[in-house]
Amino acid sequence: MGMGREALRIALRVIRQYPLRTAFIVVTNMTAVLALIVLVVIMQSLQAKVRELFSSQGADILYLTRRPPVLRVTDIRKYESYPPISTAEVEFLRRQLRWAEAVVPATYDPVDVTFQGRSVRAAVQGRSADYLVVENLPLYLGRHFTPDEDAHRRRVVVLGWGVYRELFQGRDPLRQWVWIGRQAYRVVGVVRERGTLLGSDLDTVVWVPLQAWRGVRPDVDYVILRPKSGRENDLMEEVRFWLRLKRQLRPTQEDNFGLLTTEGFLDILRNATRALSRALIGVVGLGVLVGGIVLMNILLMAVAERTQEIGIRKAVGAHPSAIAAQFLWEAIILASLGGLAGVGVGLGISYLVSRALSLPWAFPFWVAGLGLALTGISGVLFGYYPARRAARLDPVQALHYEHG
Amino acid sequence: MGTVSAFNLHAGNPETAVSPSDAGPLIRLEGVVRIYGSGSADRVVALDGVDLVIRAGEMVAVMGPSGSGKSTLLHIIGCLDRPTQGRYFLRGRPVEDLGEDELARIRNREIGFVFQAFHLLPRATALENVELPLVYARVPPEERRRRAMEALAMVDLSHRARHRPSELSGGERQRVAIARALVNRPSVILADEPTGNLDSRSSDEVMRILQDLWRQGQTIVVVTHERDVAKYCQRVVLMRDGRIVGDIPAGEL
Repeated sequence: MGMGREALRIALRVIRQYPLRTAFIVVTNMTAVLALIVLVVIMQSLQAKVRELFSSQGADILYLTRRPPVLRVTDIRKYESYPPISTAEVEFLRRQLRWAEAVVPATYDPVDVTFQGRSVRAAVQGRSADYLVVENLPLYLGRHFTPDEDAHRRRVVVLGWGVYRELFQGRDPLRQWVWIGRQAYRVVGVVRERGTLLGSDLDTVVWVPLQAWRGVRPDVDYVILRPKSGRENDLMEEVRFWLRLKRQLRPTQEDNFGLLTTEGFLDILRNATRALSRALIGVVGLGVLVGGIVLMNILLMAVAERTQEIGIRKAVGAHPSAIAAQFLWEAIILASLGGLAGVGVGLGISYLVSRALSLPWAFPFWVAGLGLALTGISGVLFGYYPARRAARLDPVQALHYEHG
Repeated sequence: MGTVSAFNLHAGNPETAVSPSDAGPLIRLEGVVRIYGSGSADRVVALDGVDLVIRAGEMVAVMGPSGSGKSTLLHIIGCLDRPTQGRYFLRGRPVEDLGEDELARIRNREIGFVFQAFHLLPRATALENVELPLVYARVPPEERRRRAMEALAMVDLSHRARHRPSELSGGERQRVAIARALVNRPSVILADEPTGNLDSRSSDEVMRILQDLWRQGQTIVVVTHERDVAKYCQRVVLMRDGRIVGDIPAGEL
């Protein structure tokens, strides 16, 4: 198509001739792609991070929680009435469950941890001593606590990296006593740095034996269960069955506890993502619309400005479609330049945001492709009317048209 | 200047240079009417029943005061405009009911326009301006360049090929426009007041080039209100109020 190439050449020349106008169109047309890329990349990074965290603890872990995850605002009040998980229930489950490799009751309390006047508010994690079966916590120093220490209510503690750094600042923490609230615990180990998840710090944490901590917290916040290999669903059924029995729920009553798998958690995340995606479509659609309208108006101005040129081209035999192609190419190139800029800036911003949230950053090529396709199509749609107007100009009137 | 070297070889008696084609007239208008506007208030009758025959190889001046309809006539002959009534045959083919496609093709292949205001693309070089009709005729780039350079040589402007219109004198611009008009070897060159924006020396130059082309066998129609310009032609058609009021040999002016 020689004609298409000519139209393309003209369009490129015009675009170079008016750098300011080109820049304006590029900026107004890049926002949609920019938003698309930043949000998609960050959503994907979040998912990847969550998956990574879960998989570091084994993908098939099951969580029994006091309340199911809140999906709707109306859930909050309903879940308030759900009873805490008692130690007796945990013991009952431990006895009954055939498909569990490990049943680890867990507590979570934000408490000040103090050493020689230095203090840090840390997440205190109470665990039974088999917690390493369900959690992946490689050590930096020392050791984890033992079943024996748990059984004898020894006050020993494993520090997270952040707590260790804050309180000891490089000095040897082993065998030192730290205050956790009003109780003194002896440091036996330090866990390696784990980073952050969604802005929450995974290192400002300490782990203590649940039996010793029970004086502070008699019940359990959640139970971490590891199924025997391939028995994830069986275990889930089993937990539901026995806990409903223990709580004497009637068949018509809902579960008054939460049961979550890694996949289930990812599902929730995916649902949230889907809601965000719908909002995203709105944002992107609006961006395309605004960019397209700006593009269309600037092209209409260009058609007016170049009326005489169009007349000349028609007089020497340009087919209306050749005139239309010239303006359509201009629209497509301008919009696509916007798309390209959006991809570039979007990559930059998403990279910086991912780094700030210490998320893994991966660039999905399909989003860039989608963004470019979107702007190209918007160029065709919003370039169509100006192009048609140019193509339909009456040659005699166009030739004698004086601009300005 | 003014003498077209490439043409001197063929220059001779104008009468014998004309090919004695009798395959019917090149241009034939029958009762052509052109009315602008639709309401009774803004209704303007630009052409009011024009019959005109132009044969291949003629050089015709269309003369008349402004508003006499001579430019409208030229636009209709050049397929830039359509008659409101009447018939127009180009090479024996009726043109008035052709579609946009065919009209664009005719403007491209059969017609070469020269305008009073030159109408060159300001940002394109002389060469690119001359190439323009060939672009729309889908001539491949190398051949386009070669033919455009030939056409520029015919108007003695080879040395100005890379200049933009703003860097050329009025006379040079009009010669570029003539090169553009003839580059696609049209059946007829239509010149609308080609000397209207030129000084007398440049006017003379431009008319001599058109005359040389005519001696080559090129059919030319020139719209003008200047007697001096009409004198270069062979035949003069006089117009007034949208009608032809005279059709005489140029010698009788």
